[in-house]
Amino acid sequence: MKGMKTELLARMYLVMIAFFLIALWLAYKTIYTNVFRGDEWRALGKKMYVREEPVLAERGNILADDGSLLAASMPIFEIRMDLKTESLTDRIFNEHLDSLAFYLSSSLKDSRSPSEWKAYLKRERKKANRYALIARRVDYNLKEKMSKFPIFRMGKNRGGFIAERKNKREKPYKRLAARTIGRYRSKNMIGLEKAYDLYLKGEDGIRLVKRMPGDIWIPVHRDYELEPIQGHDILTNINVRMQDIADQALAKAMRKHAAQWGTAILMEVSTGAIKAIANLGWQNGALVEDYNYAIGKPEEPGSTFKLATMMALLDDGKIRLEDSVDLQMGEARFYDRKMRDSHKHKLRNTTIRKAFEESSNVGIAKLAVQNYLKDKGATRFIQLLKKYGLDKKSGIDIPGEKSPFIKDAYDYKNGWSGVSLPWISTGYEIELAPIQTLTFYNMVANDGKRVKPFVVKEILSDGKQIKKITPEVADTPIVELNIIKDLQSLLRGVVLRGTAKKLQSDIVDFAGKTGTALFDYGTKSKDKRRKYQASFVGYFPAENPKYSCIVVIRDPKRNGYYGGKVAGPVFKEIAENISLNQKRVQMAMAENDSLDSRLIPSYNIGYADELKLIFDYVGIPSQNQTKDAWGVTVRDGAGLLIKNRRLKIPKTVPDVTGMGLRDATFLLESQGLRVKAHGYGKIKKQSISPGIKILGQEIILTLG
Amino acid sequence: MKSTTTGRVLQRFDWTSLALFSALVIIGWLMIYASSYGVNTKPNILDLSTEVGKQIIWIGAAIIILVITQVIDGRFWSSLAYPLYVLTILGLIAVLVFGVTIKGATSWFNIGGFSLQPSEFAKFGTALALSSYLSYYKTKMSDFKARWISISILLAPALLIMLQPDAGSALVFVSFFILLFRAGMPAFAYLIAISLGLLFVFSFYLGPMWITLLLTWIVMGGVLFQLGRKWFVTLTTILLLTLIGYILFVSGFKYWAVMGSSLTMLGLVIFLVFKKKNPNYLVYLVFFAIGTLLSIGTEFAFENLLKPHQQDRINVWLNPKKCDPRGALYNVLQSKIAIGSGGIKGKGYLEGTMSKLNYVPEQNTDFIFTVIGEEQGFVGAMSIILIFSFLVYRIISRGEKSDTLFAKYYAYAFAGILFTHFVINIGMTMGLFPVIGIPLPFVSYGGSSLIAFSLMMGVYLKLNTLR
Repeated sequence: MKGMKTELLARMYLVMIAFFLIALWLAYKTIYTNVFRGDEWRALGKKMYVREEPVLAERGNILADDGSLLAASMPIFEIRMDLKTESLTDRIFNEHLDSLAFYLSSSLKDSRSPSEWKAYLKRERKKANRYALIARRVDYNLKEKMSKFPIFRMGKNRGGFIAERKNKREKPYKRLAARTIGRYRSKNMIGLEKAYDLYLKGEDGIRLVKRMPGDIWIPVHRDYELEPIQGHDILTNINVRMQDIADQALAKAMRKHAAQWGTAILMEVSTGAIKAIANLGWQNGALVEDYNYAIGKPEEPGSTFKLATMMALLDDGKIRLEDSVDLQMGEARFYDRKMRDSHKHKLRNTTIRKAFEESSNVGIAKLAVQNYLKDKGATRFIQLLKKYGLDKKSGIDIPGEKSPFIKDAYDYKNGWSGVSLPWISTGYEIELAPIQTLTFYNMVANDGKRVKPFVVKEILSDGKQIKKITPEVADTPIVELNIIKDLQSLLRGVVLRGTAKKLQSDIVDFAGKTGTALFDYGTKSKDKRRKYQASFVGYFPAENPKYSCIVVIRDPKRNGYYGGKVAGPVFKEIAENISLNQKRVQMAMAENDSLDSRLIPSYNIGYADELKLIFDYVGIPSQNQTKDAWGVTVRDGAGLLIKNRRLKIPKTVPDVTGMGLRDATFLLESQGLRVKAHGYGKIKKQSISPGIKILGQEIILTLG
Repeated sequence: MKSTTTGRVLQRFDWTSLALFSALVIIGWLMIYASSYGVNTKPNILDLSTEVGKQIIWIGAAIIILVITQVIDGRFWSSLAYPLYVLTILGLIAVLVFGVTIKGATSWFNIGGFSLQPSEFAKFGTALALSSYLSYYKTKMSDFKARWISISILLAPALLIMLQPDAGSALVFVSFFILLFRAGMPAFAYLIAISLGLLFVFSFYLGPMWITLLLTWIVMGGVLFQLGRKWFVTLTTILLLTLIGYILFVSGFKYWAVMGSSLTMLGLVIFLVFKKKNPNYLVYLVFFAIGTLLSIGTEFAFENLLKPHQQDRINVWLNPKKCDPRGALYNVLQSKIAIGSGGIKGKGYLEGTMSKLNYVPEQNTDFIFTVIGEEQGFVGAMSIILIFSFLVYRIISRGEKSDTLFAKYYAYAFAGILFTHFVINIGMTMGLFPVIGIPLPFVSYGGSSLIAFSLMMGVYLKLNTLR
């Protein structure tokens, strides 16, 4: 009995001990979950159940000088499918699988075949994929269409149709100034998109979303926790028409000469406003803006640099333009190296002016050597070049400008040699990016006052100016005005009598300098074709210059290589076309009714049929080549062609009723309107009637 | 005279347990309030249509019951134990006929807008009946008959509850085996039951192949020990064999490992039988065969006998990696995140994100512990565990000192139920037990549970004062 009693008591302790151990285990597990693994659970909880979701701010637009859209954000959708919604039973899925696969295959470009779609959807459903990718970049209309597909039309929660809005950056003018406008992306942005990202990006808002059973995220509150702030617009100096002219002219030359790359910059002389900047290279046989050669590629400029040498010589009072120099029939020896003029000629004693106009390497190099070789004179020469700002960046507001390269005099470690002086004086052994050369020439055109080139002139917020960028112009000329005048006369002389005389235009007088730089002189093989960089830099009109312009074409492979032959015509075409438009305006103002087809508005847009009617009426030969209602006039010999408009620059609000939201948004935003929309479907109503002048208003579209 | 009796009763009264009970009820209500408290919803305490409001009524009812139980003569319970037991059994039968079905289980009576869950009261009835039977002077636990009668008393309500079906509540009746153990149920039965339980769990956890392999090692160890009775030789040999088997197994030659081990074991057993000339040693093979068959049987039963939602529960418990975090694993994952995110001090009262946004399903009933874990952190969670542990300890130790056997057994029954509830409830919120949906006593929302437990508490307190 006593044994029994002891045993039962032992059982009590056993129960107690078991309880104690179990409770201890529970306590340990609590500590483990709560303290040891707390951080992990917290992180998982944050990730899985409540999160702050960024509400993407609408990125600001990049506008041309007239407010037309150079880069804009367009809505685009990524379509995904939840293949495991509760309503999507096997019966419904199998019943509609065929038709869904068929619709997907037929409406998505480059898509799978219906049977492939079927297999894909089946596979993903088996994997219980709640987020299966259907299509990446789908526009609004297609998204709407897709939402009506079988299964999808059951809606998001039941049919598993998920459309995630993303913003796509679009350039309505495609290639035009594309590199300068830049590229918007998360990493490695370029161009204005990068330079002005701070203004463009706006501020993302925040919304708290929570996850509901079934992997649905819903906002915790109705309002955003933080409202997104729309990015600012930036208004550039780029003029769409001028840009188009420069682009077309450059592209034509690139093709004609099968060149490696080319660039053309057009700048307003008095302010430094960049009106056009074209950069072309090849990609898969097509001309594209693949690199900003204008600012990012310092190369040996060649003869265009001779202007700097002349400026130095005149500045020091070493020469007068009518002094004589012996061109030695285009060949001279400096130490062990022979220098040749790029054109063969028999000239010997001639004026310095003539030597410059003919771009004689021998002549300019001899002047430099005569005046700067003795008594460490090269130090003075390099010092002057630096004084003229030739060692400095232009300061243009696009990222990626590289510094020029100029050797210090007698810096033998860095390659200074006995022949450096003559070679630098003719534009070798130094490197300048086209924008830097242009800035120098612009200074000459601007009576010696250096300006800083700039692309962006205003920052706008909701159409209101919040920042204006004022041109940076030097107060005083870099050298005395009479020297500048001499230099201007030299540049004019190049066109009148020198290497560019064949380029003379009866539309516009211009001044400038050709450059033909040999850039593979280091390679020895004789049989190889020599490689050149052809350039032309100058300004127009010659009197009271309004624009300066540089054209650089790298490695033209056929139809000549001289600057005057390859780059010059591009310059001329740009200058002429721009001047024509200017002149047309003046003439229209003077109500001059004499008709000259060259003065007919080229690059203008109107209703094609009406244009044709007018041209027929006034007797200008014209040909309508477009089937669109809108057309653009392009000069063609003595007549005009009415071509498909590439650009849409009407000045009044178009009628967008009946259109899809995406098309309408594109059309309206590209014309400077701000679009707000509500409702679904096609556009039923627009808040501003068609025909009203566009002044950057906000237009509200009602869909239904 | 009367006053001295009252004085003695008051002196003997278990004030500590009453305090612990009160603390749990108050904490419970605060946590129910917290779980109703949302981002945009602040529950009105006085609105009796809300759960917070209703719980106030239940608490009121609980207090009344507690008072009544103290007023009623304590001997009433032992004499009315069987009638009350029968009443609760009848309730369980009636609910199957007249009850309402909520979430697939016919467990509730709907009486004037309130639901009553008879299974909660069946625990009380069973506790009374079992205590009464076991304390009856003729009941001898050494008798086979007494064992079966006592087991039948607890199985009857459990089976009826299984019919609802409410496996969770039915499983709680297993806790009465603690009482039976105290009352003298043979220990080897518990040993076998626990071994079987472990075998099932490990079979599922590791798979029958592993179990078979382990069993061969155990048997071989036994045989070698029998042969040599030399620990060193036995251990080295078994270690060597185990190592070979293990390497073979994990390097992909599973069948070879199992077959090889089994054959070696068979050889050893036969050798042992011949060596000792004693066929009784064949019992090793029987042990091995039963173990292997049970292990295979576990898998078979799991695949073929359990319903998918039951399989899910087991998977969530033992094999969470297999589970869909948005499906079967959802509750437990949510609950672990809530508890885990509380940290040491918790996020503060009414500050729990998970609680406010109602991520954890059944948060004011079965998963109320997650609110404590999230908002009060480790400190709060540990307090709850300590309070419960102390309460259970208190009930057992005071129960042991009872003058009547009935009071002592009743204390064990109550402590067992309380302990099982709290361990399984808290354990399941942390994934230590399958989610079987039983409330946290005194804390979880729900009238039936609170009233039934308060009733049990009141009777315990009253019986405890009897001398």
